[in-house]
Amino acid sequence: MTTPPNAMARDALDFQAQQLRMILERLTYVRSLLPEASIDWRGPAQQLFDAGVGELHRDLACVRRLIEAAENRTVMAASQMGSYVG
Amino acid sequence: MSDSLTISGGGSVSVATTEMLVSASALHRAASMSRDIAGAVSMVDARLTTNQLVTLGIPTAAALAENDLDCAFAELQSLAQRAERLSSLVRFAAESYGMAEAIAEGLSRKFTAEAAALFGFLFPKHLLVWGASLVGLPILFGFTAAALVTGRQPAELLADKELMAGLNALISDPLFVQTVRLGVMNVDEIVAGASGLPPSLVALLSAAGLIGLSSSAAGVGRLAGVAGMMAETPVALVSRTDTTPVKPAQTVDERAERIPQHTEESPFQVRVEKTSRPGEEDTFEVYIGGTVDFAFGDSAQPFDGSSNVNLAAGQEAAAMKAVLMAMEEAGITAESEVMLNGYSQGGAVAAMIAATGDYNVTGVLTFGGNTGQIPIPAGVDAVLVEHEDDIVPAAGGSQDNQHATIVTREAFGGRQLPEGVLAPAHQLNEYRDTAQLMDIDGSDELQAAIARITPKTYDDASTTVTSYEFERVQP
Repeated sequence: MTTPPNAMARDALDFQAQQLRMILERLTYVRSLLPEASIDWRGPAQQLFDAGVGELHRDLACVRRLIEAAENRTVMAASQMGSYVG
Repeated sequence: MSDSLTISGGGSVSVATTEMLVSASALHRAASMSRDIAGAVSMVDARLTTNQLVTLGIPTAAALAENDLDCAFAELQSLAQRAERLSSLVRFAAESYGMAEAIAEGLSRKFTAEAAALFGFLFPKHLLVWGASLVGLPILFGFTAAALVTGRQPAELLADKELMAGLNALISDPLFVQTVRLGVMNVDEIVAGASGLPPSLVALLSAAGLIGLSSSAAGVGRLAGVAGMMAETPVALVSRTDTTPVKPAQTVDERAERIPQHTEESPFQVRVEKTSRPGEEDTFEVYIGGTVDFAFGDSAQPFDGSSNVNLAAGQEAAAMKAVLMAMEEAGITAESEVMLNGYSQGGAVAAMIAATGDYNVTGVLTFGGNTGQIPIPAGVDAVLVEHEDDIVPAAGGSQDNQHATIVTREAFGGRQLPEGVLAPAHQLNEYRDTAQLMDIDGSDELQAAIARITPKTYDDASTTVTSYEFERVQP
């Protein structure tokens, strides 16, 4: 049986993992909002716009990787807490 | 077909394709959501501090997760800022482009007006030559050729396929359409210059709006009057449909579809829908068709060429009398809320009725209407749809209703012009395609403009429709 402090910690970690999964879903929605390559822009304005959009996509991918890593680590920590069951 | 819509007007200088507007709105939403998510990350992060992790004996993996969350929070804040900046940049670009276009058009109008006055002043004896080249083109294509668009088309033109194809290619060229737009604005300046007025005075009169499209059209009307043509007549109601229930239109396409298209089986020019609710005043939607007969005089049809010219002259043409009579028949009073929808000449009539200020017009929606120089009051929500390759709206001169939402599209951009149809970009079915694109467009600006002209629906309301046919009463 899990000891009370461990149970509390595991619950807290499970909750955190769940919250992070929800955040990942919201990030997917933000991804859908970002424009793709432009159609109507021309010349230097097109390069500027496309560069700006490209940067946003890279930023978002980076945020996504960080949240996924945080979620994996949280799940890992929760499972380690589970293995302390004595 | 070009699916790209361009939105301008709405009281701002912005001229933007809907792609730009959708991008700007989406980026703004992405920025706002990124900030919200950063807040959520911060809350998750705050629930378990490093000290708590140590106290609870949680493994180091969780501490590393905390570091990831700190970085994600910072990245999200930066993402939100970047998205907001890009959104502002898109709007700035749209406004700069709009301003540049407005300045360019203003300069074009000023220079062409001054040049027209100077030519007329210097070469008054060559007025006929200039008339043929500068005045003739706009008048020919702006009034007459534009009036030839639907309905009775000259057999000789239709018979000559090569001439027809050449003429179509010319009048469907956006550059030519723009030239006509500027040309019709300058007819008066040439005539005033030729009559001996100093070009500087002509330019002043033009800038003050004392001469322009309406006075040239009035001049054409007076000349035609001398020749016994284009005289205005009263109109009479000759038939009407039974009044039947109908579901009110909710989309731009549904509105375009309801605009009367004259056929032998359905000769009605005006359709009125009345919505009644218990305890409320009736509200109305009026749909007005385009030119039916392009004759200038000797026609029983109120929606004819004479009405086109007389409307441009700002006079109460037979077509307008017919619509006003239909409105009266339907029970529309000066206080009734009424939404006006019109195509081609019907668009000009809708704008003219709004311009009189005699009715409680809540909105105006026009397709291919020559409305540019008809001053729709700023308090009336208006959406004016014009194809860049349609000569008819250009015949109405520069679009000065900049408080309205102006939606433009090149109907045949990258598409072969069809054979046997004069001015294909003016056809109502092409405007229906644009209406469908407007309905599914993701730009907040356009959807807000459409929402403003779409009356609310109520469960306890009932709507009926009646269509009317009018004829001129010859004296």
